[in-house]
Amino acid sequence: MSAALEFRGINHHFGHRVGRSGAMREVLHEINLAITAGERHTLIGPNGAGKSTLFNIACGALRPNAGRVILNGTDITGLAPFEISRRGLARSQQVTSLFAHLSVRDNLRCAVLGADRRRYAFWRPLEGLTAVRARAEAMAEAVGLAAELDRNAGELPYAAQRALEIGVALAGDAKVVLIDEPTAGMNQDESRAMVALIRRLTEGRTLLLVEHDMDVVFGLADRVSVLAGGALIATGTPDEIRANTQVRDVYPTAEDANA
Amino acid sequence: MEFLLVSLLNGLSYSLLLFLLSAGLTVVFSLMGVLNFAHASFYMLGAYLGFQISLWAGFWSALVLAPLAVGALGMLVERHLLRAVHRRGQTAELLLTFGLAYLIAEAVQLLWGRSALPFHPPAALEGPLFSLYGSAFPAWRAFMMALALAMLVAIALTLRYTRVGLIVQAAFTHPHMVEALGHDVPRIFMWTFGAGAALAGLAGVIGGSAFVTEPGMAAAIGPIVFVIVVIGGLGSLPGAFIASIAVGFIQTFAVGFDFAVAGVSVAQAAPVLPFLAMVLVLLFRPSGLLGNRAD
Amino acid sequence: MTSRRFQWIAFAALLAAPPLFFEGGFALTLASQAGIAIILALSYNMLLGQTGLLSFGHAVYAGLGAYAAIHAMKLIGAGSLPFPVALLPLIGAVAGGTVAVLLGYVSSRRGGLTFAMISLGIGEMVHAAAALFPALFGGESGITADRAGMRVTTSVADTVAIAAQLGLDFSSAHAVCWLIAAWTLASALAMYGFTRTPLGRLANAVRDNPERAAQIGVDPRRVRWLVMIAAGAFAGIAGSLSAILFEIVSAENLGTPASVAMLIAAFIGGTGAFFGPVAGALVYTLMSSAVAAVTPAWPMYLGALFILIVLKAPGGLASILVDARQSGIYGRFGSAVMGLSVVSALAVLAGFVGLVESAYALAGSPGTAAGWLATLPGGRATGVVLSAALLMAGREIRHRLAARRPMPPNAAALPEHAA
Repeated sequence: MSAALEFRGINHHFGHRVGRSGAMREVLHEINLAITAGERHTLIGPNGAGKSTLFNIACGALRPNAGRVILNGTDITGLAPFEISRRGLARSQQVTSLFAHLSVRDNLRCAVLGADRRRYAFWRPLEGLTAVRARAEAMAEAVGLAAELDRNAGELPYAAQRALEIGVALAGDAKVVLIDEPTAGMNQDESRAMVALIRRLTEGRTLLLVEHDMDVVFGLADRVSVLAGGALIATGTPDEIRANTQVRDVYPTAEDANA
Repeated sequence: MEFLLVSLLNGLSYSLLLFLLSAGLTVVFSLMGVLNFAHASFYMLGAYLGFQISLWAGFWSALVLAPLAVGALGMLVERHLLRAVHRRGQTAELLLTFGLAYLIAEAVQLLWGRSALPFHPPAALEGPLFSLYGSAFPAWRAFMMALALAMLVAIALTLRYTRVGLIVQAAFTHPHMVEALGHDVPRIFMWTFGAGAALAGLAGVIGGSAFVTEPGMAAAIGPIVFVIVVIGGLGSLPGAFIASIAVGFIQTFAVGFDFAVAGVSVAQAAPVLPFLAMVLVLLFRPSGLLGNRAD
Repeated sequence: MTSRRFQWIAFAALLAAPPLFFEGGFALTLASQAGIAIILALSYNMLLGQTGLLSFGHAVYAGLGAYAAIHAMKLIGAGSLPFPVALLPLIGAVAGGTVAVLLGYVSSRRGGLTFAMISLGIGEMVHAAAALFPALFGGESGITADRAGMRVTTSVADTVAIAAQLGLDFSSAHAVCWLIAAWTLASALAMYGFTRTPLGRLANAVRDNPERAAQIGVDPRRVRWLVMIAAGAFAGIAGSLSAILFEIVSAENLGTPASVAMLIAAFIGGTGAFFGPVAGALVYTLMSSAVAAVTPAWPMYLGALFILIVLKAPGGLASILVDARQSGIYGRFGSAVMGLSVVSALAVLAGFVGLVESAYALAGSPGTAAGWLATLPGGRATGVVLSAALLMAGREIRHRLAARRPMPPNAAALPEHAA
């Protein structure tokens, strides 16, 4: 089994001084993590542990101070976000981040176009790209928004926006997918539906997920990694993590979840 | 040599004036996220009101009252216009202040006409402070420098030691956190915007009397101030300082040079140079000299 | 779709009417100017409305396109360039687009406020640089060329041979108006087509959320750059038409005031609808010519209208029309309320105009309306009091109406992406 996404010796701290003291606050320390192709891997840890920072580094929004990010064997450290995306890594945001004034169809169509070499074409009508349209509509169907194709993304209810968020991330058919807290702010039913959706859509892909809800984590993940204080303190199967005493010390809720 | 020294002092006094303007713009932007297109219009209003008040009550009253009047106008603008579009974001605010700048330019021509006004520094300061082998450095320029420096020290102290100052400082590093601090944000915004306008008004009284008071003065200096902010990095006070000094000196010195490059003399090219500097900085440092904010 | 088709037929009719019904004179000049303003406003809106780029320097592309065209006209006139005058806008388009390739490289990296400031700086730079090269830019007086007789020298090209047979001699204002109308329709169609291409849609995505666009594989900078090039080319077309129309191009064509005119026209008309800027361009042209002919206060009215739109109707005149039709705000109160609302709005407008005109008259530059006010018994003072009273009364009525009116259902969800 080869690694689809690999972090090698990632160190990161934010560039600006914190407070008057001028001390640098370290955010990530020596992260080494390999996500196996095809696995569903979940990242847990208390707030401020550095999970979102790691995501930002993976997708190119942040450049690490040291270390490498390897995607399918290629070094992608320092590439622009759009270049990383084209190499097959998709990401969905924790805070819903859509094209608010575009319809559901066009949100998905843009995501399909982003992965298409005809993306910047200005000599052919968009409607002429029937395959693009079909892919977008199929994805709308898959995330349960087939009835909302013509509505603007900004007008959708919250849960629908979250579903569209996942759809936009996956419409480009990336093989490695990063999803940041998909169930944040959802009630139990919505949350359950979201987990089912993610399970279905990431079939055959590699998934790295950040999640707080332990039911979701242990229900979905093949392996779990625990990030605390900027360092990776454990990686293992859900059972191993549940049994890990070090994890219990920093992250007591990991124990609460019953298998 | 003496030409160099006097030019240096002239350049420095002009640079300080530019920094007085770009500092106000930067502080308002950092705290409120508002890029005030009308900042240079407040500068122009300071000059015109300064001229008018100096006719009625003398120059020194004008130096105090005109900035206060412009500041009050700034507060009214914030309270009654800007606040209404704040929710809609930065572009709406920029468009609003742009519309305001357009109206102020028209109103100034309506009230004071289209030609330059005879606005001069007080007679006591018109003479030279000292002369070096025939090159005189006007006392007014020295006073202008002192006043600008005093204002900048006052800004620095306010930022460092007052509650509002601390909030503004917090806004520099965490621009979106201010509203979470639980202070009376609308009031702080109103006073900050007013203070920025008053500073621009003060710069207007100084600059208008030292250089020229005419309806085109806002359109002339506004782009220069924007260029300074872009070169320094949007939202960075130290960056604005360095860029003000650089642009002030470029403009002052270029006029004195008379050698030519490709048939164009440097003196002729002086108006182009600040903008050219901006393009060069953008090519090599897209976020400006000291900028690190995403936008 | 039929509604869309109807809009285009109406638009074409609007463009064709002036040269059909007028032989010459003020109306034709006005129509020609309006056509150019329409292309400029639509081209500007490719940036602001579609890509979210607020530019204070779009006149650079129109102006340099105009310079390219006027130099070509001089060559054609001298007999050294066999090129049809009717296709001069192509030269302007190439010039505007090429300049945008260079300047867009510098300014496309960021959107938002940074782009706005950089566009202003670049506009000022080009304007100031024009003064340094009088041979190219003509210094203070600009570059002039003469259209008359161009038919003869350009008859080598088939298009103009046909045009010549039809009597399209470009020395006449009538032929120029036809030429401008044709180019305006063609440009508008092309720009509309652009909104329906993959790049056009990705421009919307970059406008709404550049970070997200990057995450789905779109390079926001590349999109901004390409749109700038396209918009620059269309601006160049408009610039060439103005060179043909006025037979003179000067550095004024490049300056910030010219850019600002495009911004005002596009924004007043409405950046969210394709035809919005067309309405804005018409309003701007009427203000700067017809209204300017009766009052020196026209920039004051234009500025006030702009601020009013920013505050009350960020979707522009287009959104006001769409809103009124869709939400039927006044439906429940019947037409009496509607009528009262219109009357009170007119009262506010009349009062405001009265005050502004009185102010201008007092400052020594009275317009026509100030002349009427002065004929009132009691003269100017009565005019001021009457205007103030109208303004206050109108406002009061509007306040009371607003208090009684239910919120329109979709008031919170109005398109505001340009804002």
